[in-house]
Amino acid sequence: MATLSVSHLSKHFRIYKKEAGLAGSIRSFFKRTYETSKAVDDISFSIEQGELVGFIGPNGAGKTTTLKCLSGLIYPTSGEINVLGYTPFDRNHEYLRSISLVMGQKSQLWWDLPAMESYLLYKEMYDIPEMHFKKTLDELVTLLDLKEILHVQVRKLSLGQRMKCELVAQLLHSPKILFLDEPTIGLDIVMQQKIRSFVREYNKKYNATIILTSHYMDDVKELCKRIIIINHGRILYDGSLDAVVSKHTQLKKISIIFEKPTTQDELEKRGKILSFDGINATLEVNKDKVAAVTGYILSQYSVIDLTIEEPQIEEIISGIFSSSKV
Amino acid sequence: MRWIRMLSLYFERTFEYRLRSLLWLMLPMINNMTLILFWTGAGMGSSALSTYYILMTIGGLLTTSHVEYEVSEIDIKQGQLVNYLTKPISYYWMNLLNEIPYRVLQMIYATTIIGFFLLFFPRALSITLNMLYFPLVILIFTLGYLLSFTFKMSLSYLAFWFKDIHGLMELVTIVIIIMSGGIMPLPWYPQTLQTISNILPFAYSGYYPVVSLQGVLSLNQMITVITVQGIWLSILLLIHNALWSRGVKEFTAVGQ
Ligand SMILES: Nc1ncnc2c1ncn2[C@@H]1O[C@H](COP(=O)(O)OP(=O)(O)OP(=O)(O)O)[C@@H](O)[C@H]1O
Ligand SMILES: [Mg+2]
Repeated sequence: MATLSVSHLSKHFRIYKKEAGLAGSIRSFFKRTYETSKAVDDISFSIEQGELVGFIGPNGAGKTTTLKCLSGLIYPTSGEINVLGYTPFDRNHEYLRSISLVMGQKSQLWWDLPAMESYLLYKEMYDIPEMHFKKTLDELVTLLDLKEILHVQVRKLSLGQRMKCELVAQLLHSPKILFLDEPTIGLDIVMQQKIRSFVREYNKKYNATIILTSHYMDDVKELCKRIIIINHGRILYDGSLDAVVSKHTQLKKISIIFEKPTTQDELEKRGKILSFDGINATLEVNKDKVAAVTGYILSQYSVIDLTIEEPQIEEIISGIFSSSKV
Repeated sequence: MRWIRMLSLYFERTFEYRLRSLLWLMLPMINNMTLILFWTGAGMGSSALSTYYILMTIGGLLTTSHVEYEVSEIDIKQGQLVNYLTKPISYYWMNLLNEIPYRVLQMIYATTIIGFFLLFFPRALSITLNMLYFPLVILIFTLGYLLSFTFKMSLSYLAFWFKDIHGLMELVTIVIIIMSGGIMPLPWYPQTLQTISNILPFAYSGYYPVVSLQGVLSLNQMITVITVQGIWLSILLLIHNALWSRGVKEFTAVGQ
């Protein structure tokens, strides 16, 4: 049985509409108009233990709403969720002890006290044995390199430092399942890299099941074999990242720098020439011909440099977002 | 042990805000000063009455819970409840733990103030309590506080359904002040109002704790008060749990 399974999950919000201005206020005082927003609209998927799945989609797609349902924060309009045999909304304490929800934009730590105080509180809340607490904290502090800031008031920390402290707080109880909602938002490249390798490490070391949302494709590329693409509350794609990328890249670009000026006649027969100035050339080639074409070029010309451009995942994904089908 | 360790952490946090707690104590004290001075002043008032008002002011601070703003505005409407819902601990207990340090701080201030009056204005404050009954008084105050706390928690949950419960809160506050004897001792009320006050829970977290401390209740009366408090607390807890389990389904974690 899957660690996590979602079937026909929907979450609809009722949004109260008010026209602008005083007249609008008066009118809505007498008659309220509501609109239903289908934040999550009949989605199903399941995830096995130890999987690290990227959950991606544009703003307002329904990612956070799904994670909120999975972590038992909000009550689904319809559908079934089963995680580790629990229904999240029951908020069984055993269940809550085995999951963690990390939201990149918000802080759960006590603002006026050092992070360490919050950790001590969490230790009691989750009833973590002393030995285990010490060991986990030590590990996390070393991994994320935050020994120095552990005893600084949280309000005085930088965004990145706080994010690291936050992450530690959410992991002290060694959750088997992590819901990471944009954990790298607002962080610099180095810090993003650190968080990423930390997530990968955590996934491997504890065989933890992780769902990650992010608007940074680098996060997804580096961490997730499997992605779920969602938009308008519906799943557009669920499968391997490689598969969707190769499916959507029929054409690849080959850039060549020749040693001596060349003519383009022969090149023209192999692919579409995007640019050519005698020394530098860029060719567009069907992806299954790339091997043959590069082989030909390398054997016929003396070449200083040849690169095959990888498809831009960002372009592909945004293509999927707007096409609304895969 | 676990609870005590948690409590001590909450204490630590409370000390970061201790000024706020002091202000909470001082403001109503100053507000009621005119009444107190009026009844003490110029020998025209009785000492029993000034005692009542002084103790009412202090008692109100000890037994009146102030969770409503935090719960309805910050947690429910602004969505901070998210932080608690993912923790393996009940929201009710968490809030209770959070409030206890304030209570203890205020108890220290309250004792100081009572000491101050007894020392400098002995005529204004006469406590005739038999010290043997003091443990019962503490129990009555504790139950009185739990009544107020549970009531305010339940009331705040209405924010799950209604956009604006400000007006309602204010109305309820006024009703509580009247029904708990905040304006004048209950026996001064017209008969019907007295009966209503005795049935509703509010007098049991205001008037009765105060008169028990004052020492005007007999042992039997104290035991009756404790019994009624126990019954009301059970009823309010049932209401609380029903509202919570329904309300939390309406929670949408807005803006989180
Ligand atoms: N509490 C709420 N009340 C009403 N509508 C909501 C609420 N939360 C989300 N929505 C709506 O549901 C839709 C999905 O929101 P959600 O936060 O799940 O998107 P998201 O995929 O996380 O987007 P982002 O990338 O911007 O974080 C949006 O249209 C949003 O306006
Ligand atoms: Mg989101």
